[in-house]
Amino acid sequence: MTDMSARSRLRRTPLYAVADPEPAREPTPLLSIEDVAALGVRLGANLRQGVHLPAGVCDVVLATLLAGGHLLVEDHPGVGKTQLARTLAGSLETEFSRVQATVDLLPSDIVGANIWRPETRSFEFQAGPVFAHVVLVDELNRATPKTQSGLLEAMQEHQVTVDGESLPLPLPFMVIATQNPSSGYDGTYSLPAAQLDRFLARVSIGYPAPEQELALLSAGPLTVSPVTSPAELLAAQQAVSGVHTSEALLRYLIELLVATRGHPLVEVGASPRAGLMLLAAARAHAALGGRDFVVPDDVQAMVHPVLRHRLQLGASAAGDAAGEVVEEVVAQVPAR
Amino acid sequence: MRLRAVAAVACLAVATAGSWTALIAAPTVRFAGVVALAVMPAVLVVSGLSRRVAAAVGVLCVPGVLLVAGAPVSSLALGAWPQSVARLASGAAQFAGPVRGSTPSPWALAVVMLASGAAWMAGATLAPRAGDPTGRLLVAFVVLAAPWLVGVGESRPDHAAWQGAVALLAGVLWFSSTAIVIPLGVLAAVSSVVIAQSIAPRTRWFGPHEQGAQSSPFTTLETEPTYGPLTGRRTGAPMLVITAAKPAFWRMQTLDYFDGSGWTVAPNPLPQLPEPLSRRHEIAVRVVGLHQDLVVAPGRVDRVNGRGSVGRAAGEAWRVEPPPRPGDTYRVVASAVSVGAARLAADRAPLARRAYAYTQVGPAATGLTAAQLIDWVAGSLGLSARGPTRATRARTTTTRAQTRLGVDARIVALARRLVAGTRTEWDKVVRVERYLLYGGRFRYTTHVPAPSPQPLVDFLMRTRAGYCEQFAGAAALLLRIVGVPARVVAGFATGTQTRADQYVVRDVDAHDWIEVYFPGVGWVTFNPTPAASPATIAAGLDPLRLRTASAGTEAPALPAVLCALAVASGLALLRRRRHRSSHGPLEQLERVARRSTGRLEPATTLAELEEVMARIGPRVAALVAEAERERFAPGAAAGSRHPRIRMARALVSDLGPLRALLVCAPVPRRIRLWSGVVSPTPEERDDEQRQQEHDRRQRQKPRQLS
Repeated sequence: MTDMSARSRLRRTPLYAVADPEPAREPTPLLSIEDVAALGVRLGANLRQGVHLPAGVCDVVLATLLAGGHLLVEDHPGVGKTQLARTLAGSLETEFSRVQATVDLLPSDIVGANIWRPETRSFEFQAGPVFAHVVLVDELNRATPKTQSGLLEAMQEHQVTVDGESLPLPLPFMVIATQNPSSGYDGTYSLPAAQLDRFLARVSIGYPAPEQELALLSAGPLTVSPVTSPAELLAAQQAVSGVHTSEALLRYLIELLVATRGHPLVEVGASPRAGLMLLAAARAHAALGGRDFVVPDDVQAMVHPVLRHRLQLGASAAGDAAGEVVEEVVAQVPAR
Repeated sequence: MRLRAVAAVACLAVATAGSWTALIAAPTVRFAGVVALAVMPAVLVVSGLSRRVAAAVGVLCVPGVLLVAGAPVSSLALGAWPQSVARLASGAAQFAGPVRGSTPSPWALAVVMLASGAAWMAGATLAPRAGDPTGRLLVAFVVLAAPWLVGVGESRPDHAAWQGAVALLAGVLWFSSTAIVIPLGVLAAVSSVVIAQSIAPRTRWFGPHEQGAQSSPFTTLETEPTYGPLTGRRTGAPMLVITAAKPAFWRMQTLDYFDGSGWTVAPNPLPQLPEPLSRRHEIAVRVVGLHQDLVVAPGRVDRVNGRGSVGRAAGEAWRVEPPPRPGDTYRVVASAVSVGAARLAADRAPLARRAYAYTQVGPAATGLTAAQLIDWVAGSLGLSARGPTRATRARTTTTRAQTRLGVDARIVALARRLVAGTRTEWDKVVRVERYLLYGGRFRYTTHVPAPSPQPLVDFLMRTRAGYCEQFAGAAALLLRIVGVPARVVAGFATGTQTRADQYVVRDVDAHDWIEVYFPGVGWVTFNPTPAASPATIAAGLDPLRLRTASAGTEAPALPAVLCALAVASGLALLRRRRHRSSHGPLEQLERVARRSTGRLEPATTLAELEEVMARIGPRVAALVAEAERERFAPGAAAGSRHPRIRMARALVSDLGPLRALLVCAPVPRRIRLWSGVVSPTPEERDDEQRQQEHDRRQRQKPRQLS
C-alpha cells in the first residue's frame, strides 16, 4: 500500500461523515486495509470476551461500526443487548451514554436543553446523552414517536439542533438501539419505516450456546479494556470508504435491489439508500476480511441484516417473511 | 424437432448421393459409406449433440471419407498431404471443366463428399436450436440442400424426380413443427412421385425400368447413329480391356458423310488427308464382352495383328475375320494427333483442296460444291481477294443449296451466327462446342423418342435434348456448314483406368465424338457431349477442355460453391467463437465446477466456487481466485488470455490427463432416447428444483398468514 493510494482514499467522503466542524482536533492516522482487518480482529475478540455473540452477528456489528452506521438490536429481554453496546463502547475507549426509553421520555431528555443559569444570567446548554461516541438507546420502541424522531436528526446528520442552534456530535458517532420484538409486548410504538431506514443493520443476538451460558453463569459478564481510540476508528472508517467496488459488483448489488422490488410478497422494496447502506456495509466487511475490494460474498454476508428491516411486505406476507424474501432474492440473482 | 431435423438431413444426403451418382462411378456400397460418413457430423449437430463433439467426429470423418472412397492409406501420411490435397483439387477440377464424364476417381468422390459434408455441417451449425427464426431456418436449409443442388446442376439428369421428392420431404421435415407432419410429408412425397410418374411416364426415376424393357444386353456397337432410343441393355459390363501408354478415344469407324438427315459411313471412300503431326501408338486390346469384327484404335489404323484375317472396311475401319472371341487379344498400331490448344489456335495452314470433301453437306452432285463452299468460307472470313459481292453471292447460294438439300435454313443461319467474327478454324470449333456444352441450352439424356426424319434439326431447334449421337452429329454438321472439315467418329470412350497403362472399357462407354481436320496438324478429336454422359473419358483428351480449364473462362460452379461454403462455415465459427468468448473464463470454470459437483446455484459466488474447486486441486482453485480478482479487484487485467488452455493445464496438473479429459469432455445438453424419454441435464434439474421450491413457498405463505 503506497502512501499515494492511502491519501487518495482519504479524499473520498465516508458515507456518514459530514464536514468535520472541528477539522484539526487531532491528526488522523492513516490506516491500511491490513490495519483495519487487524483492528477488526482485536475488536471482535474483545466483543466476544464481553458478550456471547454468534460469529455472523459479531461481523455485522463490526462492519456497522466501521461503515459508520447505526445498529438496531432486536431481541428478547436479557439476552445481552445492553451488554453488547456496553462492551463495544468499552472497547473503543470512548464516551458511552445510555438512554432508557420510556413512554414519557422527551426529545430534550436525549438531546439536551438550554438551561437558565442565574449566576451567569445566561442560558447554558446542558448536553444530553446523545453527545457521546456510542449511544445506547434501550427499548427504543417504548419511546413515543416524537422522541423517536428526535433521534433522527442526530443519527442522520450527526448534529442536533437546540433552539435554532446546530451543535455537532462527536465523531465517530454510533447509535445502538435495542428493541423487544413488537409482538407480545404491549405498550410499544413500532418504529416507522423512516426511522428503521436510519439503522444500517438490524441483528438479533439469540440465546447463547450452553458452553457460553455456563461460562457466563460461572464467571459473570466480563468487563473489557479498550483496544482502540476514536481517532483510529475514524481513520479505519475512512479507509473502509476507499475499498474498491468494481462495476460487476455494483451491477450484482443493483440486481439484488431490483429483485426485492419485483418480489411478489414485497410492497415497497429496497430503496436506493438501502443500496448505499448495503454497499457501505459490504465495504466494511471486505476490509474486515483484509481485502481492498468488495466481492459478492461481502454483499451476501451483509444483505440479510441490512435489507431485512427495510422491506415493507404486503398484507399477505407472514410476519417473518422478510428474511425469506431476502434469502430467495439472494438465491435467484447470479453472483458470478 | 431434433428427430425431424435429423430425418431431413438424412433425406438431403440421400438426394445428394442420388444426384452425384451420375457423375461419379463408384460401387454402391462404397458410395453409401462415403455419404454416411460425410453426413454424420451434421446429423450429430442437429441431433443436439455438442458441436465440439460433432466437430471432432467431423475431423475423424475426413480420413474416413478418403479411405472409404478408395484413396490409398499411404495418402493419409503426413508427408503425403500436399499430394493428397493436389489430388483432391484435381478431383474437384474434373467437375469444373467442360468435358466431363462419369469418373471413377476416388479423389473426385472424396472431394465431392468432403465438400458436401462441409456444407451439411455448415447448414446444421446455422440451424437455430430454439426460437426458430424462420429466416435462419431457411438459410440453413438452403446450405444443407446446396450439395444436392450443385449435383443436379452439374449432372443435369433427366430423372431427378425421386431426388426431388426426397428433398421435398426433407424440406417438409425441416420446416415443420408438429409430429403429424412426418407421415404427411412421406405421403406428400410418395404421392408426388406417383403423380409425376403418371403424368410423365417417359421420365423414369430408375434406370432399370428402361433397361429392363430392352431385350438383349449390349454386345455390338452400332457405329452408324440412329438418333433414337439406345439399343442394347447397358449394365456396365466390361467390353474391352485395352493396354495403352496413353488414354484415348478408342475409334472404331468414322462417319464422313451427312446424308441430309444423319451421319453415315461415306458410300464412296473420301480422300485420305495428310496428318503432319500424327504419332504412332501401339495398343493391345483384349476382348471381354464385345462381339464385333471392327477393331478399336486410338487413331487411324496402320497395322493390326490378331487372330484371323485382317482387312480394311469403310470409314477408316479395320475388320478382323472371324470376329475376335472373348479372351482374344489383338494389337493395333495407329497414328493419332495429340496437340494442345495453343498449337491448334495457331494453325494457319491453308486448307488443301482434297479436304473440301469433308466440308460437304449432302451428296456433292446435288449442287453444293466445294468451290462454292470455298468462296463462302473465304467470304465469311473476309479473306476473299475477289471482293464482297462474290462472297455474298456464294453465301446466298450456299443457303439455298442447304435448304434444297433439306438442311434447315435455320441451322445454316445458326451456324453462321455462331461463327460470326471468327477468323480461324480453331475459334469456330470453340464457338460451336461451347454453344452445345454451356449455357444450359442442351440437355443430356438417353431417353429420346423415335427419330424424326430430321433428328439433328429437331435436336438443335426443338427438343434440345439428346445423347452423344445428337451432340456429336450436330457439332459436325454445324462445323461443316461453316466450312470446317469435320466428321463424326463412333467407338468407345477411354474407360476406367485400372492400372497405369490399362483401361477397362464398359458398354456404357460406347460413344460418338467428332474429329476436326486442321491442315497443319491432322484430325483432332473433340468431344462436344456434356459430362452427364455415362461414358468415362480421360481428362485432357479434348484440347478445348484443357484450354477452358486453364483459362477458367467458364466459371466453374463447384469451386465457387465450395468457396462460398467455406466462407459461410468460417463466419459461423467466428460468430460462435465471439459468442463464446463473451462469457470468457467464467463459463469455463462454471462448467468444470458443475461437472465435478453436480450443481451450481446462481448465488454461488466465486469465493465459494474456489472452495469447491479446491477439492479438485490447488491450481484450478487458483484459477478461480484469479477470475475473482479479475472481476472485482481494482486495476485487474482486462481478461486472461486463453482461458481454455489454462484451465486444461490446471486440470491436467491437478487431476492427471485422464481424469482431466473426463471432466473436460462436453456432455450432450439433452440426451434424447429412442423411447422419447428426455433426461434433463444438471442445469435443467437445478432449474426445475428451484422452480418447485419456489412454488412450494408460494403455496405455504398464505397458510402461514391464516
